[in-house]
Amino acid sequence: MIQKFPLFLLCFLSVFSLAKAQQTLGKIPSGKVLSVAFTQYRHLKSIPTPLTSIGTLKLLPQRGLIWNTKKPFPNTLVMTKKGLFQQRDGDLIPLTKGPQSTFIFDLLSKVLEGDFQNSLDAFEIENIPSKEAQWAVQLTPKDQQLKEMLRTIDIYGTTQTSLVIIHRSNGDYDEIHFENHKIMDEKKALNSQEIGWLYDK
Amino acid sequence: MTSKYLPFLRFFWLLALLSLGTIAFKNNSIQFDLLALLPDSKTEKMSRVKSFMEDAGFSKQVVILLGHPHQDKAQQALQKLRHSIQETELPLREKEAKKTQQEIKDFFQALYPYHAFFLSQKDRYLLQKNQEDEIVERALQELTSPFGTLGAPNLKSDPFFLFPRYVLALQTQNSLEMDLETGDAFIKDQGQFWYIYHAHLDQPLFSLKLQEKLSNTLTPLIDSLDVETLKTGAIFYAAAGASQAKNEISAFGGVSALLIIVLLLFVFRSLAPLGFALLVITSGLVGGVSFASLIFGSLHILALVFGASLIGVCVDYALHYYCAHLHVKRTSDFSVLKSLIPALPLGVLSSCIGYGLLTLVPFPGIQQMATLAASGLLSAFITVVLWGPTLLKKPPQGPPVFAQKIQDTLDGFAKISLNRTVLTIAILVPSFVGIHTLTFDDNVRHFQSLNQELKSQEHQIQTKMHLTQSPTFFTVSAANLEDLLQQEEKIIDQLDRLKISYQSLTTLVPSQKRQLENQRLIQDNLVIPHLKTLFKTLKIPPLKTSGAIPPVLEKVPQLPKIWRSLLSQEKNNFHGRILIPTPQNSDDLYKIAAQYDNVIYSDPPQEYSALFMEYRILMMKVIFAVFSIIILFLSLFKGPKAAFKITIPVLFSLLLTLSIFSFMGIALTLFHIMGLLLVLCIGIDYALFLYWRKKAPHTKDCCLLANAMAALTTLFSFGMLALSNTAAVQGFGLSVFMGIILSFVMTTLYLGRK
Repeated sequence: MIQKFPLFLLCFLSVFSLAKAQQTLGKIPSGKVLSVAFTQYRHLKSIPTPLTSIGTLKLLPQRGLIWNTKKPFPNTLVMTKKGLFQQRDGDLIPLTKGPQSTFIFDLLSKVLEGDFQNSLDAFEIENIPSKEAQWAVQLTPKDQQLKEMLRTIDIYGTTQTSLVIIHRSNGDYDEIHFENHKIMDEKKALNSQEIGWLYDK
Repeated sequence: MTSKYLPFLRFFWLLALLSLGTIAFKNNSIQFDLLALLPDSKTEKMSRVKSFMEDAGFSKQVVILLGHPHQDKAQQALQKLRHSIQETELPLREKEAKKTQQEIKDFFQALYPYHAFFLSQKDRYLLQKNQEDEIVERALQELTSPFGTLGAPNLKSDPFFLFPRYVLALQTQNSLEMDLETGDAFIKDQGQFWYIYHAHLDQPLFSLKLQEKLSNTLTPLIDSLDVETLKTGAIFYAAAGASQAKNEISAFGGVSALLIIVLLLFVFRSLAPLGFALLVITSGLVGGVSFASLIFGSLHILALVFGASLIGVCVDYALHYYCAHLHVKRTSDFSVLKSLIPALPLGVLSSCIGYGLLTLVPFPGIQQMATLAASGLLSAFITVVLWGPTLLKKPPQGPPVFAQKIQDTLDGFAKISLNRTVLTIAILVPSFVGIHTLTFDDNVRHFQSLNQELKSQEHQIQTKMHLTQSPTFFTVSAANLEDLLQQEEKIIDQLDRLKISYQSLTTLVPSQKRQLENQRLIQDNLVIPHLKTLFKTLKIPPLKTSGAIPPVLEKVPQLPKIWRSLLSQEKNNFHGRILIPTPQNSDDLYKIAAQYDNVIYSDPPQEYSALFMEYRILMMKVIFAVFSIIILFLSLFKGPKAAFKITIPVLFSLLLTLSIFSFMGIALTLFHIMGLLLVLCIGIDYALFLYWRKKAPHTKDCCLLANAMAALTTLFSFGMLALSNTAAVQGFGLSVFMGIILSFVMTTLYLGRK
């Protein structure tokens, strides 16, 4: 009975954290695009200072995500169900999709979409101190192969996801801050080229 | 005197046949290897093909795809299949995707310490052309996005991700994904999840037992799964082929036997000719196979099949003997035999001499076939001579009414007044036109007649998995590894210029010379001009890269199983293979190989096709040689005029058969030519019997009846093969069918009138 108690509490807390996150997160209505500004800090073991990149992302649920880095180096990545592409001179060049990149894209998309509950079967979920956010959860992969790539993913948010920290198994970690969340009409948010990318690919 | 010794000779002959047959049966071994048909001088290229097929294990692979819109259902079906195969103890060993992945991982980990010397082909090209911007941009993109595809950054020792780019370039562009929970490989295609069962056989492919076990066990197992299934593997084709062959043997064999029995009973109103014919054919087969086995030790299956078919000529001896037995007045036990002299012994002798001389041809396959056929015909003849007088002793009261009617009708046909010159021109003109437009087909793929349902499944699997059929390849030989790799690099540089994709050892492990070139390219074209700018763009202080550069990689680490066919070592020689998965133009590839003494280009289907072409041409020469020998022999025996009279109708029948094929657009194959050889031997016998029958104009005979019966029995047996679904057998049967009809007609028209 006593041994079962902590497990019961863990499950209860997990469900509670999850439920709280799900309740507070706003969902992206159908046909709308989520536009978010991001600042990413890549902390690599081999360097003392993090690599900082700034840009915007546009997420069209069920279609794909456009990751537009402006600094330090302009670069646009497009991720759809068909793969990961790099924009160069107006064309999309396919990049090999690995399980890690697919996984992170899927998770980020679902979390940003507000579809929290359906994306977490592969994780152990734990409540963590929420700092300034309303809620915070830590996801630990269950699967051995995923564990070889990722240690944990920490997600913080209020009505929107504001911070995601991806801890990789080699000790590197990415801190991605999201702000200026905007829900916009597709036609307003995306130019014709971007619409072409997300619908053709 | 002769009659006194006849029983002894008869008994001795029977004993000899039984003894020979028993010895040959006990020592029997049949070869299936096509290489065994060739003389040694032809075997090097074919040895390379055979060696590659064994190393790559193509023929033993089994691939089964299990598809369902729900991933878990497809995965469960795979588990069920796996479990069922283990329970039924089928000789299948599964290739685990996890194990393959681990081998590949271990291989690249062994290479990593030498990563300073490794460049993918594309990166090498970019650096040589001073187009390194693409590499720099990609590095920046990797470092500034969370969706890395080149693995963890290593800014100290590989800031431009060159080693991951090299590794990625080597992995086959396929659509395979891995189930993270179970480690199983699967494909997502058009809304279905296809889980893959990939195994290889533990037993020889052509084992009939295995094929039976497969048909009775594995196929129903696959069909019982509640998912969509696709399967491919040589074993399925072999089983389908064996099943088709069995069905055809039963169908054709049954129908042939029935037709022949009905024909002989209907015409002769007796089982005696059938029994006698069976005895003669059996003794021919036993004698021929026994003698050939004792001479050669083991026989090749093709020599056995075609040699045995040539023995089918001997049914003519039995039928002619029986027809002579119907009308010859008995003055002694040998009266019937005397009436068939010299036609019968000449027929046997000419065929035996023709085949006998073929044994001088330096192709083991031809030698075996010729020995088998010659000794078989001789055995059949001896049986007719020794057993005919005993078994067919009682003279009947003339031929049965229906038999006589056939003879009379054919006599009437033979008497049709035809201007021989006009007839000859009418035959020769279209024949020459036809022969000039003859086409040939030696493509081994066209002989295969593969099961269409299996072909369709194979195509679907290849499309989904981006697999290729058995590739063509270069074999490169050298005394040491460095020379081998440098030689391969010369070839792949040419392949790159021709934009031909390939897989080779040197793309996994470059030569030491190239490794040093790569290192220089990286330093001069990438690190020195761009590294500081990279750090500046990222706004981080430059890192001190590790100073010491390790020595070059000298030995190849343990290759994963999927790449082991790329390298082999024999005594002191290294052999590398460069695989060309989708060959477009073999001419360019042959030209590349021709530039080097130690390089051979092999296109397996083309090599087999070339082998078939060689045999086809050889068989055409054999027919010409046999025909010439028969003319020579008859000229010596009876003079040139008689020789031409006897052989011209047969020649015309062969020419007409060829021209009919040409007009029908049928491309000739080795198997059509083999059929024509049988037609030649049978046609000569028809002509010989008719020619010598002419010398007794007032004597009644049933020679035309005998020829007609011989022709019909041949049509009912060999001719029915024209209906086979197997291209090779169909070709043989069609040749015999048309050739025999024309032989009978031509010999009757030219030699049938008394």
